[in-house]
Amino acid sequence: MAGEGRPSTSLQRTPRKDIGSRANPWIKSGDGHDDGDNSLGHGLFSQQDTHQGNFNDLRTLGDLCVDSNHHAGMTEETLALLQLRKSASASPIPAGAASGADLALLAAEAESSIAGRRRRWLRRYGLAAAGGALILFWLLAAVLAPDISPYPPDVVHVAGRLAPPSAAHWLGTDELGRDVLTRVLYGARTSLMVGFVVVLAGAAFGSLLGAVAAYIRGWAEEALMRATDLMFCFPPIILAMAIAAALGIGTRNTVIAMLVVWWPKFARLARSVVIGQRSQEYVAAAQTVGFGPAHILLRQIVPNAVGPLIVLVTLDLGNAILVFAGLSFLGLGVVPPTPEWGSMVSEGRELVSQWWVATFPGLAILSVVMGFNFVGDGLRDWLDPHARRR
Amino acid sequence: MLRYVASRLLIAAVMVVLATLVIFLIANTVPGDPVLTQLGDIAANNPVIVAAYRHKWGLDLPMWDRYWIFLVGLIHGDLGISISSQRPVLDDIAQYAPATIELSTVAFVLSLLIGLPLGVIAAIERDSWIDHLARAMSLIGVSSPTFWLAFIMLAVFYGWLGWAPGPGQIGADQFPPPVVTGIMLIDAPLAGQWDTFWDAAAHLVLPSIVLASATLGLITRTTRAAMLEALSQDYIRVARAKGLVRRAVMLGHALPNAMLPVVTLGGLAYAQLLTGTVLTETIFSWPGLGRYTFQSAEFLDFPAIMGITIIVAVVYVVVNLLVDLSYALLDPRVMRR
Repeated sequence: MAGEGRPSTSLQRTPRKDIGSRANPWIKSGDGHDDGDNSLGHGLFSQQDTHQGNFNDLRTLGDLCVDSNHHAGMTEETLALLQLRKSASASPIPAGAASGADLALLAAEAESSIAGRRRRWLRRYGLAAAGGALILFWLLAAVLAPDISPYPPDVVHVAGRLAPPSAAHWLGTDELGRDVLTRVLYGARTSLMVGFVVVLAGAAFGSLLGAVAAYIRGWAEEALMRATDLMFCFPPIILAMAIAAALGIGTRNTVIAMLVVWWPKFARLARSVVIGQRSQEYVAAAQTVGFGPAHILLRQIVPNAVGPLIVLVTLDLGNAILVFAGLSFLGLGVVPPTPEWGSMVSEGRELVSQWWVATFPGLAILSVVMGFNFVGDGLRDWLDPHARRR
Repeated sequence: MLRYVASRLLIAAVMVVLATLVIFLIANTVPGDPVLTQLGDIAANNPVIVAAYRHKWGLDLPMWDRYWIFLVGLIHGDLGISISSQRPVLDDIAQYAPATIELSTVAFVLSLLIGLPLGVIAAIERDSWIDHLARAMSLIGVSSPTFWLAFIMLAVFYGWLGWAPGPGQIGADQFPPPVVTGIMLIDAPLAGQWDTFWDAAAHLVLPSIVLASATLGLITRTTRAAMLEALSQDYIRVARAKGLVRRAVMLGHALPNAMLPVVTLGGLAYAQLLTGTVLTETIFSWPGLGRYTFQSAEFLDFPAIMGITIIVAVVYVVVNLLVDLSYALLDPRVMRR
């Protein structure tokens, strides 16, 4: 039998034909590297959700042959029968079909039909697509806020304060008579901007630091570990309060405080991923060829390592928005009267009967963060080589 | 093993000291002045009073002298005297800490009780309705802002439906029991005040649900992912081939191996719960460390801020250490590096 069908390319799409029903007993998983790091490493993808996909690219028995040497001791018929059993639960098989191999072919064909693949894609990535739509909606709202909001955000109209949702004010008015809908739309600008700045800057800085430290090893890596340990001791709120006490409140200072807290996470993750990569053969090969360490790190390792980082960036965008809203809620984030979702919830905190003042900004936060979480989950499923062929 | 523990303890101690240094440096570049927040307007305009106040609180000493005094006091277990409450910071913390411990522990136990079985079942019955329900619940819990969820809970269950009692640890009509541990759920039965006990338990329901929502999501997802990975291992195949009952395979073989990342993340989640109650306590008027933290930051109460930083750092460091140790215990491969 020929060797492995496809060589390892970037993103390590080593084909794993994970055939079988629930417990996948035919899988030999396992990372093959032990980075000894207790916290974030240890096979990051494996700690997360894995989808059972019927998303199986096996179209012909020929593909089964290619990968049968992954499963020591299993013959092609066994594989075909397993394929049959799985697809029997997925799609109907016409009665009276003849041999096992024919059934397997039929089943494989039925699986690869357009409608079947669309269903599979929807089941797998439907939530992620919904999340993406949510995020797109809020991005548009943030960009188009001045054009689509019915009232200016800062105009105080005390006579019409605390009006319930009506035709004139779709989401009601707050304590100073400002339109809640307008302020929610404008608040999207602040929140999204802060989220993107904090996470992208923190990710860039942190991952670079972590990757370089992991590649250099030695004292640099130890120093990085201890530094990130130290930073982990501070919950973001406490550090933000300290920095706010020192530098004053305001969006800029809060962003600084959040940046200080945000980069260690990425440094740790980048470190664990690069550790997983640095012992691979292609790194040794590149070193033998004579590439310098900068080239190896940037051009060889990083493309393979960037998957989990992207997932964490997406998930953390939602997290950063949550933290910033929390800080604004406590009065540490934006300076009033800048509209911001957290401070709006804080203003409406005592108004239980006028529930709309605090509810709608919170719903906005919830929807944005859920959107980012869905997209992050979908990205993780898409990029995870283990989950791909289950 | 002993060397491992000793080295980690030493590093932990250094971490705590470094953490206090960082916070001290930050808090002392403050342009605002604790003096002004404590004295009234008239007194603050009188330079004699201001100078006397500064001298009393040692605010006129250079920064490093203050830090040195603080460190010496730390070694003796003295965290200084809070500027706003005029009591030793340690007393303040000892008064407020039990309430936070009570709330965080109840929330953590709640999230474990619901999250662990949900995660296990979601892994076993993959892609079933339980799986989707678990994922939806965990995502919503993780995505919702705590302060908003607290408000919604209060508005719906207290304001609108009237099922749950309002903010606070016990109702205004109850006499607080004598302080033994500081934890209401323990002190009240010890004093025989059973109606206070039920009142305290009722007041705990909403805040612990709010706190547990995020942790629940984390534990469910971690358990599910860890179980899925454990279920794909070879030894599960062997166990089934041996003919073991499904429950024995799941609970006896897969689950113990899946517990490792759950323990790690669960420990960190507990530390986060202990130190991250600021928002919840503020909304529910819970007399705990979170609310104390916020008030000290508001009043620029340096000794209190430093004291809280130490507590937070110690909690994180201790929990990290325990998690690492448990990791070494649960997985012998770690020690065999």
